[in-house]
Amino acid sequence: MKYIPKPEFKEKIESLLKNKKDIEEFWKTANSPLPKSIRCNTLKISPDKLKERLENKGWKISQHYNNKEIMLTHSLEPGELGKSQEHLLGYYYIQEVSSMMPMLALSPQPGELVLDLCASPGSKTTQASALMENKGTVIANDVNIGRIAILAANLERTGCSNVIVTRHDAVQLCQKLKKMNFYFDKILLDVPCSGEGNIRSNPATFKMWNQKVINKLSRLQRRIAEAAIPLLKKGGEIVYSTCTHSPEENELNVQYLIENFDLEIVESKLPIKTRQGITEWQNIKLNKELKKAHRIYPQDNNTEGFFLCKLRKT
Amino acid sequence: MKILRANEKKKILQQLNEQYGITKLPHLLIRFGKEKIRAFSGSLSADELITLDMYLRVESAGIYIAKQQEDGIRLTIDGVSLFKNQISKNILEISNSQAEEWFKGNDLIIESERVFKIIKNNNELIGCGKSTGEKITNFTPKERRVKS
Repeated sequence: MKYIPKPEFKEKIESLLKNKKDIEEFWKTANSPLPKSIRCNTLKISPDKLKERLENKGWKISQHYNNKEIMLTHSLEPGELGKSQEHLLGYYYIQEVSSMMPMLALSPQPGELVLDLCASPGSKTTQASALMENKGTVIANDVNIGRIAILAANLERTGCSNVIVTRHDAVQLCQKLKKMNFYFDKILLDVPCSGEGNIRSNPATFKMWNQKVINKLSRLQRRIAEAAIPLLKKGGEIVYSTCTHSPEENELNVQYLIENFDLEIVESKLPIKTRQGITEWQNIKLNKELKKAHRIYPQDNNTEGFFLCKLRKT
Repeated sequence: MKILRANEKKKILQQLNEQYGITKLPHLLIRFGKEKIRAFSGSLSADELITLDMYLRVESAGIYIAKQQEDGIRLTIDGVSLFKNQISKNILEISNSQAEEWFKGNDLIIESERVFKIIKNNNELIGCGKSTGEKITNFTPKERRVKS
C-alpha cells in the first residue's frame, strides 16, 4: 500500500537536506524497493565460506561495503532469505545495512560487559555477541514478552552464548542495576523512535507521522538515556542511535546529554557514507562537536535512514 | 534458574561423553525448569548470575543445549552446533533428500539402534533425533523448520 507523506514531514526533510537535487534523490530512494541485506554470523561461519555456500545454491551475492560480513542478495523470491537452511542454522542474520552501524560504532570487545537496553528483535545484540566472540557478557533487555520471545529465538539460532536476557522497563532496569553496582564498558541506546528512517520497509510510517508523537518520544528517549548513563564505567562508551531523521530525537537529545552529564562526543569510523550531525536546528545553535555524529540518509548508500552518536564518559 | 554445581556438571559431561563423545564443557551450565540445560559462556560468575536472578526478571542466559530425559540426554539443534567439533559418537549420515525432509521437521524412516542420533549431511551436523528402531524422531522446533 502506498502512503503520501504529510506536508510537515516533507518540510522537515527539506529543512534538513536543503539542496533540491538531494531532496529529490531522498524521495526517489524512499519510494524504491530496499535491497535485501544479510550479516554473516561469524560465530558460526566465515564470510568467505558463507558467500561460497550461498553462491553454490545459485544466489547472487555482492559485498559493496568495506566489511565482508555485510552482504547484499539479489533476485531472490519473497521469503527465500528466511527459509534457507543457512538461515535456520544461524549462519546469517537478516539485517538492514544501516541498522548494523550502531554496533560497529560501539565496537564491543571480547571480555567486556555490555548493555543493550532496547534489544528486541536482537539484530544488534547478536552482532555484539559475534564481535565479542561470545566472550564477556551482554545484558539484553526488552519490556515486551512477545518481543523477548523473538529476541530469545534469534539468540539461540545464532549461537550467542554470552547473553543474559532480562524483561524490564528500560528506566527501571537501569535503576535496579545501579542499586546492584553493575557498571558497563559499553552501552547501546537504540531507543524507541518515530521510525522516519524506515519508510522504505514500513511506508505506514508516513501515515502515523506526527510532531506531537516525536516530541513525546524525544522525552522518553532522554529519560532512558538519563537512566543508562550512570551505569557507564569511567572511560566507558555509549552509542545513542535511532532509525529516524528528526533532530528532536537525535542531535537535540545528544546536546542535552553532553550538557548534563560527564560525556564527550567521540569520532567513530563506519564502512558506509554518512553525513555529519547538524549543529543548528530551527535557529537553535548546537554544540559544534555534534558534527562527529552520523546521519545516514537512504540516498547515500541505498539503505534505510539512521542516526548515531558515540559518547565517552569522562 | 539454577546454576549447576561442579558434581552435577561432571555427571552431565559424563553423559555427553558416553552418548556423543564430548570431552570438554567450558561453559557455566544452568538448569531452567526440570530438564532444560543452558550453556553460558559469559564473563559473569555464578554468584553474579544468582544476584542478577534475585533482583531482575531474567528470562534466559546462554543457549539451550540439551534436555535431560529418562532415556538419556538429548542435544538440541544449538547444542549440536556448539559441540560440532567434539561430537564423535552416534552420528547418522543422511542423504540430501533425507536432509530436506529433516529440515521440514519430518521423521526419517531409517532403521537403526534405539539411541539418540546426531544427524549429519554433507559434512555438517544438522540436529539430533531419537531412533525408535524403525524411524528417527525429529525434534527440530517449529520455528527452525523449512516451511514448504
